Amino acid sequence: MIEVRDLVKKYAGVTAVDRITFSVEKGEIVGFLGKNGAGKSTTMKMLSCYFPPTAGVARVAGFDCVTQSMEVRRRIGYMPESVPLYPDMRVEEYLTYRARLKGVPRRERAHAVNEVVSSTGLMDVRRKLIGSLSKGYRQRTGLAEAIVHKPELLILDEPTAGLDPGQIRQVRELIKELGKRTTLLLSTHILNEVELTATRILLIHRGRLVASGTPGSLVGGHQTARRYYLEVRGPGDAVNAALQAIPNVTGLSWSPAADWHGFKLESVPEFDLRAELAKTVVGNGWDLRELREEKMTLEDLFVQITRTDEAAPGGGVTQIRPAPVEPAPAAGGPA
Amino acid sequence: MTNLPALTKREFTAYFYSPMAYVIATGYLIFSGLSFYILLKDTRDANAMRNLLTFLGFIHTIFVPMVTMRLIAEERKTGTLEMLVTAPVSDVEIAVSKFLGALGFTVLMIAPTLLYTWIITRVGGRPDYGLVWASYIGLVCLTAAYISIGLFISSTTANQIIAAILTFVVLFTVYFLLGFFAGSVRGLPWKDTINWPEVVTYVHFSSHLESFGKGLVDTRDIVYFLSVVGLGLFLTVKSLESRRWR
Repeated sequence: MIEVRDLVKKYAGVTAVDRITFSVEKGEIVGFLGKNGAGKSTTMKMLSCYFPPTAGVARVAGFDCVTQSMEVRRRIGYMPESVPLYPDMRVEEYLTYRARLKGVPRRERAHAVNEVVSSTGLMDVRRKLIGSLSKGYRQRTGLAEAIVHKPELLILDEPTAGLDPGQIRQVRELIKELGKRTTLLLSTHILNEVELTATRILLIHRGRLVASGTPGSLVGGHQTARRYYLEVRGPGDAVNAALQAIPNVTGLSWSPAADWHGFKLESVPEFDLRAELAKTVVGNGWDLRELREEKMTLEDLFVQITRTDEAAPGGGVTQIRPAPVEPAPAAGGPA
Repeated sequence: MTNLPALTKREFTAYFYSPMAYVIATGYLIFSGLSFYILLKDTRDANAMRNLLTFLGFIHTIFVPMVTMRLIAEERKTGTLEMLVTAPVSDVEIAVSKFLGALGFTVLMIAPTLLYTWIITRVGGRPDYGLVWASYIGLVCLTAAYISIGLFISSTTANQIIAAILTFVVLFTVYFLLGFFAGSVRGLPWKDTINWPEVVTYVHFSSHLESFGKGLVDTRDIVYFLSVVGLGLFLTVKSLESRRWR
C-alpha cells in the first residue's frame, strides 16, 4: 500500500527526513513513533502529496506521490495534526462538501455522510457549526472527513493530540475499528498508544528510521540483557556473593536494607535464570519474597534509541553491563 | 474541472457566513450612493452614470481588497489550505473557483447601484441605456482584473491585513497613480525603442475604461482586462504550487 524508498526532505538547509525506506502492506496498522520534530509529520505530508520529497520515491497503492498525485489523493484520507476545518460550516454540510470534492457520486453522498456521522458519533452535532464544537467533536469531524470517501489508506497525524483521557479512549476505539477496514498509518509520540493500536511500529529519530517491527519483536530485538529483580532476607554480603557466582549473571546491584535486601540482576539474554536464582536463595536457607523478570518496555526502547546520540547515558543500575561487575558496596547505604 | 461548481459554491457562500461581507457591502453602497448623489447634484445631468463609472472604479480599489484578502490567506492561516490541496482537486480549480466566488459576490455588491438609473428617470433624466450597460460591462471587467490581482496577493501571505493593504497599494497605483507618471517616464532607458508614456498609459487601468464610459465596448479593452485576469490566475496557481519547490 505504501512504498517509500530513500525519502529525503530538506527545508531551508535543515534535513527533516533523511533517507527513510519502508513499506506498508494492505491491512496493516502502522504506528509512526518519534519525538516532536523527528520527521513524522513531514513524511506524512509527503505521502499525502502536500509537498514533494527533495529526493527519493514515495508510492501509495502503486501510484507515485509526485507524478500521479491525483490518483494518490483520491485514495487516501488524511488528517493533519491541527485538524483544520471550516468553522463557518455545519458538520454535515462540511462532510457533504468534502465528499463531493473527493469524488463520492451524488447518489451515494448522503448515505456516505450518514454512515460516517453515525460511526464517528457525530449524530448529536451534525447540524452544529464546526466553530462551536469542542475539541473532541472537532477531532471526530476530522476523522469523519478523512474516511467519508472510503479511502484505501488512512493517514492520521497525531489523532489524539490535545484530547482528554476519555476522548482519547473513544478516538482510539474508533481508530481500531477503522483499522479493520483500511490500511492505517498513524503517528504519535504517546507510547502506549501505538502499543494499543498498531500492528507494526516505525521508530523515527532525527529524520531517520531507527527501528521497525511489531511492538514485541522491537523490544525483543533490542534487548541486550535479561533483567531480574529479587528481594531476599539474609546476610547481604553473602547473598550478594552467592548471586554473583551464578553462571551467566553479568551484572548485579544491591540496595541494602535493614531487613529485605533488593537486588537487581542482569544476565545474558539467551537463558532465563529465574529458577536458578530461586534455588540459590532458598538453597542457602534465605527467605525469598519476590522474584520477577523486568521486561523491557517500548518506552525503555524509545528512550534508549533516542538518546544514543545525545550526551552519555545516565548511570542507572541497569547500565552495569560488562561481565566482571564490582559488587555494589554497602558504603553510603543505610545498613 | 469537475470540482469547479462545488468549490465555487463554497467560495461564494462563505462570504455570507461572515459578517465581514455585510459590512463591506454596506460600506460600498454608502460610498457609491454618496458619489452618485454628488455627481447628480453637481451636474443635474442625466448622464451622471458616465462619471459614476470612474468614481466606482476608484471606490473598488478600496473595497475589492477587502473582498479578496481572505481568499487564500485565511486558509493558509487556519491550515485548511492543506486539506484543500491534498484533496483530489487541481490548483487551477482552486484558483479559478476562488476568483469566481469573489467575482460573484462583488457583482452582487454592485448590482444595487443599477437602481441609480431608475433614480435618474425619477428626476426627469433620460439615461442612455446603451451607455449604462457598456459602463457596467467595463466596471465588471475592471473588477475582475482587481480580483485576480487581490487573489494572487492573498495567496502570498497568511495575513489578511497585509494582503488587503498590499492589494490596495497595487490597485491604487495601477488605476490612479500611473496616470500621473505617464508624462514623466520619457527619460527611462531604451527610450529610442520603447515609447514609455504609451506603455504606462496602456498598463494604466483608467485608460481602458474610457471607451466603456462613452458607451463603446471595445474588444481591445476587454482583451486587456481578460489578460490581467489570466495573469493574476496564473500567478495564483504558481503561488499555490510554490509549496512544491520551496
